[in-house]
Amino acid sequence: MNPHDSIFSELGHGAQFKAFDMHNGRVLKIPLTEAETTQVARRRRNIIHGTLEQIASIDVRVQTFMNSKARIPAMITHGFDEPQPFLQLLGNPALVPIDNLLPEDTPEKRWGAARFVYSQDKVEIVRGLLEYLSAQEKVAASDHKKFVQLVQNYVQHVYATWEYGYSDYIFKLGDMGVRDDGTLVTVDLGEFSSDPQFIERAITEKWWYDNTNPLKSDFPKMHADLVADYLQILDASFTIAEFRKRWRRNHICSACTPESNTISAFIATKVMEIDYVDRL
Amino acid sequence: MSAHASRPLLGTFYRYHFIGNGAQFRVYAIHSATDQPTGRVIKVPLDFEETRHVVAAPLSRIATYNTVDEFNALLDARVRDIMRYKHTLPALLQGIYGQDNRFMQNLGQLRMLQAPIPSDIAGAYFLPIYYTQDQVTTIGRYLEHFRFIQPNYPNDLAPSDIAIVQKLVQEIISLHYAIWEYGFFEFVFKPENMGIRMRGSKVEVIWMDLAEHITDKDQAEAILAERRWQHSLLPHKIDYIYLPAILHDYYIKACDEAFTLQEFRKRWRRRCVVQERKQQRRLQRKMLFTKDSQRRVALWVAQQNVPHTLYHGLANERVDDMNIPHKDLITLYNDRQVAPRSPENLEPIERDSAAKPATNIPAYEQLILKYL
Repeated sequence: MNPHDSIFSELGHGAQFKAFDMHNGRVLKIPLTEAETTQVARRRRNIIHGTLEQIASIDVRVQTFMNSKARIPAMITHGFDEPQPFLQLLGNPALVPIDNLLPEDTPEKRWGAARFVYSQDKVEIVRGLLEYLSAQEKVAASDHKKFVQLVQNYVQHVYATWEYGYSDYIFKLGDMGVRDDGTLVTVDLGEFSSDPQFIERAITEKWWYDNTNPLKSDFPKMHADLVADYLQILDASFTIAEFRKRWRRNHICSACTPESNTISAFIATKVMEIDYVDRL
Repeated sequence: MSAHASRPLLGTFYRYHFIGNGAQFRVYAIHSATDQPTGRVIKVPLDFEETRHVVAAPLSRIATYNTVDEFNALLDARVRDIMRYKHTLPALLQGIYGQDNRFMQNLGQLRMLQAPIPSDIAGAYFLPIYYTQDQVTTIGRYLEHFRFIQPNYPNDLAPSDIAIVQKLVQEIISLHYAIWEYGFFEFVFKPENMGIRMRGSKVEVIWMDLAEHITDKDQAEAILAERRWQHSLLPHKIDYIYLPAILHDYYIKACDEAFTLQEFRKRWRRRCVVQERKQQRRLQRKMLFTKDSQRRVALWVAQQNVPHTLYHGLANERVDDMNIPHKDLITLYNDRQVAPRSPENLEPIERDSAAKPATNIPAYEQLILKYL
C-alpha cells in the first residue's frame, strides 16, 4: 500500500495557495480562488463589512495576489542550463500535471491566470519559531545567537536568488523554510520578481521592515529583543550596491536570447509586473 | 444510527451488508466472498442531498421556524455544519494520534481508504472520504435489552447485567477522558456515538461516530456547563437516543460527577503536552551533540515547530489495506440505501410513554376511548 496515493491532509494556507501534506516529504499547493483570496485579505485587514474605500483597497490587493502567483510556472521552468541549484533554493518546486482538473472560471469560482498546481519539499517553517519567540517574555541568549545565525543564513539565501535574477520582494522571514541540514528554502513563491527596478525600489524602501511592524497582521510578530539585530543585519546586507553586484551573476540559460535581453525582455517584464498596482 | 438488514451488495472480493446510516455515513459490514464477517465496516460518506434528506425530518420536529424558506435555510445550514465536521475526521489519524495504538483502539482502528469519491460524481462535497473501522454493536442496539424495566422493579435485571451496564457507563466516561487528553472534545455527549464490544466479561467502548468533535478549549468548557449528557434522558430531545429508564439515575449521577470543569482541565491535552515535551527534549539533545552550526539552527527551528509538526503526517497503518476495489467503492457510493425504522426497536415506544403525562386510566380503557 502506497500512502503517497492517500488523501493529503491540509497543512494550512496563505493568501495564494492551500498546502497539503503529501506524506512523502513533499507538499502539494493548490491555488485559492479569487473569492477565497478575498476572504483571506479581508481577514488580514480585519475588514468584514468595510467602507467602499476599504473594499476597493482589498480588491486591489486580491488582484496582486492573483496575478503575482501566476508568474510561478515561468520562474520554475525557466531554461537555466543548470536549473537544480536554483530550484533547490525554492524547495525543488515541480508543476503537477492536472490537465483540466481546475474547472472553467465561473463568477463564483475564479482562478484567473493562476491555473496550476505545484509540489514542493516539505520543510520546517520559520513562522512557528517566530511565534514561539514572540511569546517569550525575554529571548534567551542562546536563542538570540541562533536567531542571528538564522538571519545571516537568510541573507546568503536571498543573495543566491539574486544571482539567478529573481528576488522575493516581501522579505517575509516567517515564510522561509529550513531543511534538516540547515539550508534555507523559500516556501512562498508567489511574491517573486525578475524586474530589477522593482526590486531596487523594494530595497531602497526597505520593505523588510514590515516584519517588525505590529500593524502588519500577516507577518508573524518578531520579539522586540530581536528587532535591532534583524534590522541591522538586513540594512547592512540588502543595499543597492550588494544587489547590483550579484544580480543575474549566475543566470546562465538558453531561454534569454540576446534580443530578449533588450527590448522584448523589457516589454515582457513590464507587462508581467503591471499587477503591482497596490504598491504603486 | 438506525439499523437494517437487507441483501448484501456483491463486490469483487467482498460482500457488503448494509448496517445502517446516520447523518454522515452509511455503514456496511465487510464480509468475505464466502460471507464470513471480516470484523470491519466501511463507512461511505453521505453527500449533501442525502444528508439533507436524513436530517430534514428530525430537524422539522425540533427547530423553530415560520415559513418553508426559513426551514430550508436552517436545514441547509445544519447540513453544511455536518459536512464540515465530517471534513475534520482525517485530523484524528495524523501525527502522534495515528501513532498511538491505544488511542486508535479507542477509535476502533479507524483507517482512511486511498481513494476519495471521484470529483466528477455529482453531489460529491468537501472531498468525501471512505473509512473502515472495527465492527462493533451500537450502544442503542445493546441497550434494547434494558427497555421497559421499571426502576421500581430492578429485580428484572440479572446482577451480571447491572455490573455490565455500570461498567458500560464508566467506559463511556473513560473514553471521553481519553479523547480529552488528546485535545478533542466530543461536544454532543451522545451515547449512540459510541459502540460496544464485549470481550468475555470485559466491556470495551469505542468512539464510533467521530465527526462531532471540537478542539477549542473555551468552547468545550462552555459546552460542559450545559450538561448535554442530560439530553439522553429527555423524551423531547429526539436528536438523542432515549436511554432506558432503568439507567437514568446511575447515568446522570456518574456523568455529573465525571464531566466537571476540574476533571476536564486536569486532562485537557495532557498527552499532547507530554509528547511535545518529549520530542522537544529529543531535539534539544540532538542539538547539543551537533557541531555544525547551520544544522543546529535547523534543529532549533524544528524544536519550536514541534507544537505544529507533531500533529501532521499519516502513518502507513492509518491507510486501509483491505484493497477494496475502486469499482466496489462506486457501487457503495451509488447504493444510497436508507435504513427504515425497525419495528423491533423499542426506543421510540419507551420515549413516547415517558413523554406522556401519567394517567390512572387503565390501558384497555384508553384503547376503548381511542376507538370511541
